[in-house]
Amino acid sequence: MNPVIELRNLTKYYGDFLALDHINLCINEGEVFGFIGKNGAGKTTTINLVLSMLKASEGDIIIKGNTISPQNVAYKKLIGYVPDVPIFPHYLNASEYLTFTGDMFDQSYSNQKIEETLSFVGLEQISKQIGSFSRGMKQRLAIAQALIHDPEILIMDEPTSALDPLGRKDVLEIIKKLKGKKTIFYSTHILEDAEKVSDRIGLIDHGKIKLVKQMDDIKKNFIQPMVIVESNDNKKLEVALNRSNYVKGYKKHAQGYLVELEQSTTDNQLLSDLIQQDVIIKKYLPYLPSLEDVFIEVTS
Amino acid sequence: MIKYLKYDFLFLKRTSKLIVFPVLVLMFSIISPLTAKYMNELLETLLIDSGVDFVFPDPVITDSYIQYISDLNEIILFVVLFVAVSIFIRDKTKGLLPLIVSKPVSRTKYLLSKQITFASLLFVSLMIGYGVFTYYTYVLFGGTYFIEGFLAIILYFVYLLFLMSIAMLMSVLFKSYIIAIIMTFLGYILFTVIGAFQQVTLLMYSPNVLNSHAVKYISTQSLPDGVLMTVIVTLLLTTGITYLSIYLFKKQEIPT
Repeated sequence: MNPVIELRNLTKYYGDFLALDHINLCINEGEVFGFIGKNGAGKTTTINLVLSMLKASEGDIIIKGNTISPQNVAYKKLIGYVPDVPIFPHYLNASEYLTFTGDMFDQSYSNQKIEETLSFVGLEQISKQIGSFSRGMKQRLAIAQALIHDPEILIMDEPTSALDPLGRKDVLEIIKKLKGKKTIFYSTHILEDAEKVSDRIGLIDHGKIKLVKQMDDIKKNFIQPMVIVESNDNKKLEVALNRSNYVKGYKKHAQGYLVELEQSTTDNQLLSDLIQQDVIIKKYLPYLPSLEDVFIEVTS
Repeated sequence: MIKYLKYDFLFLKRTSKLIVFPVLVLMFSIISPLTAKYMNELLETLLIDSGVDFVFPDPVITDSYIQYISDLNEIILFVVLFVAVSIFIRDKTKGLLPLIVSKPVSRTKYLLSKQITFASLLFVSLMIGYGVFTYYTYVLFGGTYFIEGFLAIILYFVYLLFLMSIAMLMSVLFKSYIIAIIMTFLGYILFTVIGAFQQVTLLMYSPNVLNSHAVKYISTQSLPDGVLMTVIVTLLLTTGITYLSIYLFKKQEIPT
C-alpha cells in the first residue's frame, strides 16, 4: 500500500485549546478513508491543516512523500476539496465556475471536459446562475469543481451533513463511482454514510485518534454479537437470560430485549438455551450493530 | 495574473459595478460645470426674492474645475472607500475564500488583482468623466485648462490609490465589512488631520495634501512646491501598505 497522505504528530492549538493532539494517520492510495467523529472532534481542523488553511502547531503533513509547507501551494494540484457547505459566486453558472477552477489550477478545459464533469455529478445542461441552485445542486457542483483537474486525492469535509436524504444518496453514489479511482479522505459525523462507502475508518474524539481499522475488522472485533428477543413472559425471559452462560448483558428494547452475547457464542446456542429453560419466544432476531454502536463504545 | 484579473473584471461586470461607477463619475462631470456656471445666478435670484441685493462675480473656468475636484473629493471619494472595502473583503464575508485558497492560488496575485482591477475601473471612469467634464466646461465657459485639469485628476487618482491600499489593509485585518469600513474611514480621517499640519516638514508631504495641490494648481496655473515629493511619498506609502497587506494575508489562517 502506498501512503498518499501521512499525518505525523499533527497538533493544533487554538490559543490554549488543544484541538488536535499529536495525531498520526496514514491514508493509502485508492482507498476511501472515513474520518468519523462528533462535531468539534477535530475533523475539519485536520482537513484545514492538510489544505494549509490553518498552520500546524506541531507535526508534519506528508503528501505523496513530500512534507508540505503553507508557502508552497503546488501540492494542492494533487487535491480536490469538497467543503461541507460550499459557497460559490452567485453570478457565475456551473460551467463558468469550472472554467474558473481550471484557471486556478493553471489548466484550461474544453467545453466537452466541463460537460462531462458536470454530467458525472448530474448537473448537465444547467445554464442558470449558481445563485439559484438548490443545496444539493451546490454540493454536486462542489464535487465537480473538486474533480475537474482530475486530482489523485479527494478530500471531502462532511459532504452530506447539510443534505436531505435524496441529496445524501446522490453524493454517496458519486463517492461509490469514484471508489478505487481516487484516494478519498472523507470526514463525516453521519456514521451510516461512512459505513456505506468507507474501506477504512479513523475515529477521532477530542482531538485524538481513537481507532483506525478496516471496516471489516471493526465489524469483527468491535461489534458484539447481539440478538433481539421477545417473549410473552418477560419475567421468565429475564430469569433465563440471567441464568444463561451465553449472555454478556441485556437491556430493554422497543421490540423486546436486546441481548449482548458472549464473544464466541452463536445465535443458535442462546436460542436452544432459552427453549430448554421453557421460555416461550415470540421473536428472535439477530441484531446488526452499526458503526454507531462502535462509535459509542469507543468514545464512551 | 491575467486569470485573476479576468474573474475580478467579470465580478465587476456581473454585479454592474463596471457600469455604475463610470456613470456616477459621468454624472458629476456634467453636474459640476453646470453648478459652477449657474449656482451664483441661482443664489442671486434667491437673495433678491428675500430682499437682499447681492451681486456675485461672474463664474470663470477655474470655478468649474474647483467645483469638479470638490465634488470628486466630497462624494466620489466616499463611494470609492465603500466599494473598495467591499471588493477586498467580499470573498471573506461571503464565505468564498476557503474554497479559493484550497486551490494552488497565489495570495499575492489574488490581492493585487483586486487592486489592479478596481484601480483600472477608477482610472477609466475618471478619464471618461474628465473628457465629458472638459466638453461641458468648454461649452459653458468657452474654454478649458485641459493639461492642468488632467494633472489635477492624476493627483486625485494617486490619492485614491493610497486610500484603496488602506481599504485593502483593513479588509485583510478585519472580518466584518462594517468594522473594515469604519477603520478605513478612521485611516482617511487620520491622514486628513495629518494633512492639516502642512507647516511641519514631514507632514507637508502627507497624501491628503494632494487635494490642496490640485486646487492650487488649477487656481495658479503653476505647479505648487512639493507636489512631486508628495506624489512620491503617497506612492511609497501606497506600496508599503499594499506590501503589508499581502504579507499579513499570506500569514493569515483561513479556516472553513
